[in-house]
Amino acid sequence: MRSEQEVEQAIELYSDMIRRICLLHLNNHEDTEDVLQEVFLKYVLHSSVFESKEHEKAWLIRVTLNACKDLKRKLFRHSTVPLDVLSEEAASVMPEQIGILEIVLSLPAKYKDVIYLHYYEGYTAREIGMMLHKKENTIYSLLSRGRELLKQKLGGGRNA
Amino acid sequence: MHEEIREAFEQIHATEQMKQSVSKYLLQNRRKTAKRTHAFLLRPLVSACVILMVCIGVGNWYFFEMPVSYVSVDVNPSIEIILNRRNRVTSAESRNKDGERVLKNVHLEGMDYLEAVELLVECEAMQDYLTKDAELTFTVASANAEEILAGLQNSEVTVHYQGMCRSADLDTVTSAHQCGMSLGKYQIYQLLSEYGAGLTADDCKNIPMCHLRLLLAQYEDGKKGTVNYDEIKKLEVGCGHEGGGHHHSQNHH
Repeated sequence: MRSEQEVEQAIELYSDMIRRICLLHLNNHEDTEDVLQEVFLKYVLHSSVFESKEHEKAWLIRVTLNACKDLKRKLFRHSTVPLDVLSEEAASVMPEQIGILEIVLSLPAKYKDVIYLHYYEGYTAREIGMMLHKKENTIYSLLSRGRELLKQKLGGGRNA
Repeated sequence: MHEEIREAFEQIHATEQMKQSVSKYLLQNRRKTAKRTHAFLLRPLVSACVILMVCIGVGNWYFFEMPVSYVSVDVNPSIEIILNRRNRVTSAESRNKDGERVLKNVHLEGMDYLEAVELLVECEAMQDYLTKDAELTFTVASANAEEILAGLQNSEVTVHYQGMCRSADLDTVTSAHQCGMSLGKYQIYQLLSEYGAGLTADDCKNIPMCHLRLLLAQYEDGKKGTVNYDEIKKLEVGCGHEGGGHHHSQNHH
């Protein structure tokens, strides 16, 4: 079991990232809190040593994505556009960025994860493939189609 | 678009409330886990104690209580002394009414078998039965019969009362008890049956030991045929107490 200090550091370091991944899949803060608790409990109980911070981060991303999928399955909440949750963020996010987030969140689930991981977290297609247990070419395809969808929704003409 | 997406997501943060809720949840979980761990650690300790107690109990029974040897003392009183592995008396049981009367006055539990036998034979109640025609018989059923018999043969009471020491199979102990007889009497009943005396177990129970010994001696000397009803009735009275035995009916003492 990990020490309290180690876990507190991880909460400080990774809560925002987990919150963002939850935003892609979940509809409200309560569900996000559930996932945060579940992910960090798994982290506390995870006895293996991480090779590096990057390894630790990738592990947490994978666990978070799985926790979101499990929760959705449990609650029978299928891929609806999680716009409700954005209204909860309205106070802290600038209006023009709310628009961008709305567009990203309106993408089909299979594109949202790769778009977020590539554009925000900066992972390469190969790294995302390893994380999501998908082939690198599949990730390239998902990124390409996702980018097209984004362009269309953003009004086209912009370069990704 | 890259920058726009980055900046948009940059605005999303976990709230302090979310972080605190996680910390609180994990703390509660740690407490529960710690309790479970204590219980988990205590469980083997409790199990070890239980196993130890069971071992002590079984060991105690094995060495101090488990019946290993049976010594039947028959005059007419029939008493069976049950011995543990260390040849100490774990219990003494009467096998007839005279035996019951004698045992009321002596406590043999915990004694060495030779001390117990000497105390039993020398006690006042038993002395009433040890008349000049009485016969003292020791019958031993044990895996360790030789050692016990050797001790009995050299004991003061055997020498003084010219007692007879016999051995019997351990298997016969249960059969004797089922017939309600002492081991010594049952052995004579078996021998008389082999000679074709035609006596039932109930007949033998009512015939005093001295008469059974005499009857057996007659068969060993060549007597033939079964013992008839009149003879049985005669055998039932005489040197013993039961069925009008000599102590009460003949006033020998």
